[in-house]
Amino acid sequence: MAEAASSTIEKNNLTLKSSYGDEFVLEESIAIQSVTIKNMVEDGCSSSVIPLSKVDTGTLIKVIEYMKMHSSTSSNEEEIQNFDKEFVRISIKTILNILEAANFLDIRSLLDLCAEAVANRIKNKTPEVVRKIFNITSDFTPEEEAEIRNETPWAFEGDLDHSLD
Amino acid sequence: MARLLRKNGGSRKKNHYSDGLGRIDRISDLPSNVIDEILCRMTTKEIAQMSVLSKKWYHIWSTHPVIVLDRQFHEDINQDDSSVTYGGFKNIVNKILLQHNGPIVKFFLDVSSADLDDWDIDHWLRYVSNKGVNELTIDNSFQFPYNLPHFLFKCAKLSYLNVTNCNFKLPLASTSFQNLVRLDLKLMSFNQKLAQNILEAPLLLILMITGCDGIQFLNISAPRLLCLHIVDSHYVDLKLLKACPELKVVTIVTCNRIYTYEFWRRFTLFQMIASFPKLTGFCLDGLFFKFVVPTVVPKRLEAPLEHLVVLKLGFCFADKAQISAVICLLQSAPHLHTLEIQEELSDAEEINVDAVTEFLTAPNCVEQDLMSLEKIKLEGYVNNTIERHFMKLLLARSPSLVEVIVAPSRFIEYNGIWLFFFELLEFPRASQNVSILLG
Repeated sequence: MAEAASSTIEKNNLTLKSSYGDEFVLEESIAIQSVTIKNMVEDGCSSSVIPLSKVDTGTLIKVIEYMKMHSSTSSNEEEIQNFDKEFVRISIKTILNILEAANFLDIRSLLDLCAEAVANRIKNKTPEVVRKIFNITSDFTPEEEAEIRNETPWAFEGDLDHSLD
Repeated sequence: MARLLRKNGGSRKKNHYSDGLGRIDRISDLPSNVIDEILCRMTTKEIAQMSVLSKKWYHIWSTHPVIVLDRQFHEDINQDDSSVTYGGFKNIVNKILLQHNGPIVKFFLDVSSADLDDWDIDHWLRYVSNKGVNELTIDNSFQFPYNLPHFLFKCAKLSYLNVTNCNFKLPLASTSFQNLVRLDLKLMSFNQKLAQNILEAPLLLILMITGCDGIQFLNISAPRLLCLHIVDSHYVDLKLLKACPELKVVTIVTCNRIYTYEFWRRFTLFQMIASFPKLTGFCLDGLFFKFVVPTVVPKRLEAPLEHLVVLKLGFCFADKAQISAVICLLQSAPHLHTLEIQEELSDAEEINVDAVTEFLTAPNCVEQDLMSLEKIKLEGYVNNTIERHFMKLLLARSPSLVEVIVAPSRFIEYNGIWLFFFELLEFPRASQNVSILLG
């Protein structure tokens, strides 16, 4: 790990530890975009390593990348918008991981970004396609499914997208 | 592993280490608040479509605490005439509500294009209020005014109420919205009968009144109110304003409606301001400002506006009373940070160029430097002498100034735009780092 903790931890740095045990050193001013971490810092619980048992290494790397970009003073609004656009051009699995991490870490803007990205991948898709994208297994019998469709028949009118992306 | 567990109907516990399998249904296992975050970015039709995905998603649809039946919803169900096929808007809404389980936190109902009887709406509102609705929006535009039912005023859980084109008849002499935080009233008409009733809203923070008539009959007791917006509504009464000592942000925009002068002249700008000891943001349009400015203006207010940070005013430069009221406000607001001006064209009766010039160029016009002023925006300049005097004065007396933006009126000649701007660049400045921009 290139970014793993070095032996000397500077005063204003925090160490975040992923569920895999990998450690990342991050400036406090960047890390406190997470309200969860901010509260820990304020409560004085951040002197040692902050364990994030719900966030795996790959997800944590993405979350840190996001926080670094959003706390950078050198990037303007347009750059941040483009960054956000690119940031969610990743597999749905990764987005869902980041979404859950953003919820746990309480990073509002990242939660918004990922929730929007997930919603966009569901919109206008047929239920069959949505099931495939998200690996959802239907536990309805065909009869049950027909019944459910009949409860809100208006929702299934119009053209829906059959493509997977 | 996770897949095997699920097939056997076992634990759906997440296992982050099995990502490599790539076949895990992560979305269904998200915490319910995260699922709500996703769903609140989707339309009601899109959420309803998800009900067939699996039993879990059927449950999510039927318990989703937010029901939004807005313009988009009308468009969706009117596509391909499905609204007609399935019994119209009324039937569809009835079914959605009947299928719903559990609390309804937010209900948005747009009936502006629906053919309904009042009792249809009554039933729905009764239903959602029994389900503990917190946030309620009723848009009844383009219809006969809908009579808000009395039980709504006893709906203890309401924290946000947004009503358009409804009749507002308070059932009792005193009605209480114990938890109401924000109230939006649009296209409403209030009458004399309401004047005897008091609407108690102890927690109300934001009140927005848009396009309403008879607001002088509205008695709202909102001791904690922070933010009041009155747009295109009449008549603004001091009574309404006086009862709110905590007010921080006040906006009154009249949108050039026709008013009787006599009514406005009942109170002055300074009487009004004295009711808001904690004012931080103040915005008045030109017409309202003109009506409330008294003929005699003091040099500064007795009680300074210690908290005022943002001031947005529309006014006529050529009217001495108005311009001296502006200077008085500037001199009374030691912490003012932003000043935005919308220049109004002058009526013939107000123009007194000589008197205004004399006033602005007098050495004691501004006695104290505007220490905190950082931003000035002037919109609608027409390139005249008074504007020059005014801007010259501000530039000379604002040592903290950072940014000045000037935007020309659309009635100005092309040359005038640049003449004014270039002259502005030459004026002596009290601040070293001002950027002057053409907006």
